[in-house]
Amino acid sequence: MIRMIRKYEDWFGVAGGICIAVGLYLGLAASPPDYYQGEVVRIMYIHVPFASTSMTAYFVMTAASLWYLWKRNPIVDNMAHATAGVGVFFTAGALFTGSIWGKPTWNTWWTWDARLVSFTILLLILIGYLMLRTFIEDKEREARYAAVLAIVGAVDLPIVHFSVEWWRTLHQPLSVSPRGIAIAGAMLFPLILMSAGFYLILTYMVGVRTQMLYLQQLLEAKKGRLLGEVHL
Amino acid sequence: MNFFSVIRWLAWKDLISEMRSRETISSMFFFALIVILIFSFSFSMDQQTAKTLMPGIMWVAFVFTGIIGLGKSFLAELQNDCLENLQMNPIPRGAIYLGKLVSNFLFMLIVELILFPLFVIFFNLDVFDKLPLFVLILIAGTLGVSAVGTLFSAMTVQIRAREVMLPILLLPLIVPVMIGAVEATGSVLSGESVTFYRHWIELLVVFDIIFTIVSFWVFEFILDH
Amino acid sequence: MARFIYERHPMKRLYLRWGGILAVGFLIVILSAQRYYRDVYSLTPDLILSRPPFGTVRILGMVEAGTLVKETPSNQARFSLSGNGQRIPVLYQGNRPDDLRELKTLVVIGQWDGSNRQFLAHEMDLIPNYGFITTAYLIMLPMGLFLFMMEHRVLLLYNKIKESKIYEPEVGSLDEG
Repeated sequence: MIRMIRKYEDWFGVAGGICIAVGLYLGLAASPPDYYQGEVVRIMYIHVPFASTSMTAYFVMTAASLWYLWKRNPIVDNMAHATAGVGVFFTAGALFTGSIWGKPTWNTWWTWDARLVSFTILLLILIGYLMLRTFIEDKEREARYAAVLAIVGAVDLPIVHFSVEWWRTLHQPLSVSPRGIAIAGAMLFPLILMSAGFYLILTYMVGVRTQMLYLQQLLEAKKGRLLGEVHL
Repeated sequence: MNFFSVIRWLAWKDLISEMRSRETISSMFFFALIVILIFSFSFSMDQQTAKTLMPGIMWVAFVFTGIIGLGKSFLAELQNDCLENLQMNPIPRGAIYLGKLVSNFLFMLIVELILFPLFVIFFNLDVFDKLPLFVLILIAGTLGVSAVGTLFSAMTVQIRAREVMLPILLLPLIVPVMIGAVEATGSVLSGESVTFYRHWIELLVVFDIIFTIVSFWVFEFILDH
Repeated sequence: MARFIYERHPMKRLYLRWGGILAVGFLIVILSAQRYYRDVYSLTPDLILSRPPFGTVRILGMVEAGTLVKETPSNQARFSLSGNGQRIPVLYQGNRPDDLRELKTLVVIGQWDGSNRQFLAHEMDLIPNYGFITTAYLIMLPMGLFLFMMEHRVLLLYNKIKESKIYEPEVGSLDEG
């Protein structure tokens, strides 16, 4: 598996880099500004890919965790761990770009919108996941506990989203929903390109990070440190 | 031992030892009392603001005390090597979870029922005609917190920095319980008709069912074999 | 050949690749800066008065209160634009946006008519919020840094594992990939 990752990851990286470069050009220079939002709509081309990839990253993490609990394959655990690390970055990126997009369009950096709250909770769960892993010495137990946390979090996130949506509709009308943008064709293509690029880059990053975590464990095993406990 | 007698035996054992020492419940109770007092001082409330803030304060106090109780729940087992015995025995893991869930749930509920009259006095609440609804919300919210909490309490008891990790893992996950319980309590207090807040109670019940089942299932992976 | 370089100097290859990415990024920054000065950069009324420009320019300013006159042909309007303590009269001919009103900050595009001392505008724009867009896209920088650190660490680990002599068979099996 690690050999497969090492063999193919570069192609994902290169393809992702090309997609993002072309998408950046189309999104920032060639595409028209939005009728209502003006130029600011160009933030969409980076915000939407960030948001969708971070949700996908959590989904992949949950799938890897389930697979780990089922088959107990350590490389899959490395992959879940890697996805969490990369996912923290992408989720933080989605919140950051969303906040910057919110200032000129809704005139506020932050609002207690269902999606924002769900993403914040997602970020908190991911950070808690990474913290939990650093506090456990036994690698096998670390993998099991982390997988359990990932699965429980995956069950929780949709409930968080729905409850916050109900809560918001009670307290104030959902006036600030970015769903209102009708996406024209000229804007759709760079968006698709950027999203594709981000998915490829996500795959590449997860591949690199999985290797990194795997090699770290391998090295520790080689040094004879914790040889009995290392989970390889 | 069969499944249900394990549950009954574990819960009964926790209750008996608690009745003898009264450690957990009294520490939870005093902690909650302090939380309430600090909230009252820091907001310097009049009658009207008290009514709007009170559900939030009440549930924050309940959840914090719940975390204290949950943190102690598996610690006692760890200290006397009981946890290893539990892990070694061929009893079903799910039964251990449910037994602990029952005792944690009862501890939290007992503390909440003791605190509740104090809330009524401190905040001048007028709730006596809606007491059954109130108790229903209390039970549903407490079950939600303890269903997730028992799982994470078992998870964090065997790791470093357990006092920090339990709230860090637990609090983000119980956001729906907090929202639902606070909204339902607030609606009951302001005397709305049940149709306006029925969905919050339903949310709590759904959360309870889902997380009891999920935690029951994944608890198998928490204890070492 | 590429395989040879990879085997002998994995670090050099990493630095070359990231040097290339950095160069491309730099090129993109330069191109977009050029485009900014051509299409987006705007002057203010005081600059127009002190140094009258030639050709088409963009001016950013606020429509002065009480000066806006929407003339009978529906595509014409007169107002004075102020900024930095100066004001210039503007004759606007073109598609008139519905939300053109007093005290609104906007950008007009057109030529400075030095003989009549007024600005002939043919197009109108909202204030560009390029600061926000740039800030949002700046997140690509930490993303690249994050990826670079990971790749760097992977190579370091591979080297360390090759150097450690304890379990030879595993080293061999890793290198085959």
